[in-house]
Amino acid sequence: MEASDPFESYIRVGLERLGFELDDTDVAVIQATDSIYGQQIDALMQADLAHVAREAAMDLSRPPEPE
Amino acid sequence: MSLLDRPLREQGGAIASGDADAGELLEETLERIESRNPELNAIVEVFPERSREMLDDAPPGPLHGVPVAIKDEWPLPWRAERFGAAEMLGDPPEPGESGPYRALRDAGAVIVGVGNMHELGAGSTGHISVYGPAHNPWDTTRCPGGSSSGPGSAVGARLVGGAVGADGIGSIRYPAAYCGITGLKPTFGRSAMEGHPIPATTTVVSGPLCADAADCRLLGAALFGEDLQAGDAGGLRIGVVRAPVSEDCRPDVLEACQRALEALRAETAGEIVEVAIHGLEHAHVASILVGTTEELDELSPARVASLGDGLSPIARALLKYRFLLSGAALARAHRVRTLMRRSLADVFERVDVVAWPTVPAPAPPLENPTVELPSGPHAADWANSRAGGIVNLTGVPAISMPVGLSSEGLPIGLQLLAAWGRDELLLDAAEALERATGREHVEARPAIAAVAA
Repeated sequence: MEASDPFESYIRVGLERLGFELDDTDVAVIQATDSIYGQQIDALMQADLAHVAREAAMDLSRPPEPE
Repeated sequence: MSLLDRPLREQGGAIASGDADAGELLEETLERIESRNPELNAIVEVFPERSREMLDDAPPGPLHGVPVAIKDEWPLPWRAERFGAAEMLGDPPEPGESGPYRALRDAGAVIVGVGNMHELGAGSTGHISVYGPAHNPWDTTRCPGGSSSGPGSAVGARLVGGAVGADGIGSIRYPAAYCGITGLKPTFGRSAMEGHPIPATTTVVSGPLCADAADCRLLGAALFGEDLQAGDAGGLRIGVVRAPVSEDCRPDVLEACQRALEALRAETAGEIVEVAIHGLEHAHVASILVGTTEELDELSPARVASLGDGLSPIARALLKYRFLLSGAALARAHRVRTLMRRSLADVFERVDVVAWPTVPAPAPPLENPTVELPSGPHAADWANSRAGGIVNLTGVPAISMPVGLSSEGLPIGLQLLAAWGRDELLLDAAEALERATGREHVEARPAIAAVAA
């Protein structure tokens, strides 16, 4: 099926390139999910995180080591 | 009142003192599951002979002879987990001695059944499962919460006094809130996890769901393999934030939580302090990105394709969606993880706990799991994970406790977060709130679990 919008094209081309077969349900669920989380992902991509020093050996059972 | 309607600790005490017979309690539990579970679908499998064998072999211990349930997320020696799905993503599971099983066995507990769960643990509602949805005991047309849907519903309906759940992006706390019970998400790494289907997880922990905090302390101690000493929450410094997570909630949820916080402050002679969590606006999506991609390294397109009808259409599509997520976004999510850990460490220098509603609205209908918030209608999964994800992202412990009923008569939950390793303080604070409210909310029961006066 030919995609009717750019994001649908992205879904179809991207996943088919990885070898997935897609049906309309897949596309609809992915579009719905992206409509929920897509803006937050976009904001994350724009966030200035350069000042956040990496945590060298993260231990999730403990607080972070001082920077 | 039946002993089965008493707290776990009283059940254990009565058995230890000889005032109650553990065999009779087990049979009564099995009968109760048989009578109440058809409405709830909370327990998806019982194995009476195995349970009787467990009782026969039960060592002395704090839970000797006490019936409990466990989520369908770990293997038992006689049963492989199904993870709420027709087919597992990884290798086919096999029966075995998981960490939570050993912890329960060594504490003398008797596993009476396996609790339902949201398919693959990938939902906060419990409305999708290979077993069919579990139902909320307060209103069986409503979601019980997920992914520990069965444990939440089973304890809420008092099929058992306690159950072991798992929490990856809030999966103990949401069902606790929806079902009117208490649920503890332990500090990462502190509770038994061996045998989990995602062995390299950095977000999921096992934890207790019980009627109240003292029972969570008892069952949690078994899972932790150590005593969880009761302390004094006196002078509790309670942090609150001005952010959507604590403001974009239904008014009745906000009112109940604010009343509870004031009661907790008064009971502990503490203080309520406004704090800011730097970067909080990115914690939600970062928790989703980190939490939903943990097992991607073990999945291939061919494997997903091979699952076929083994998964629901939604789960199958969501798996494919994960392959579309950008590597840059995931890298940034991990950077946010560090930011949030540092932000919370800073906040916990100034306060002992941080509080906001566990979920922003009570349990939605199973047929339409969306919630109406001041910001508009939202998928319950989105709204719930906004409140719960930061805890798994950072590794800190958190607890959900009941604080009232909504206008529809559905439970409302308040969540407290504490610093790494301060799980005991959360239990202390929850017990202080129970005292402050005369145990009104932890004693409240749905009609299905009503006790004759």
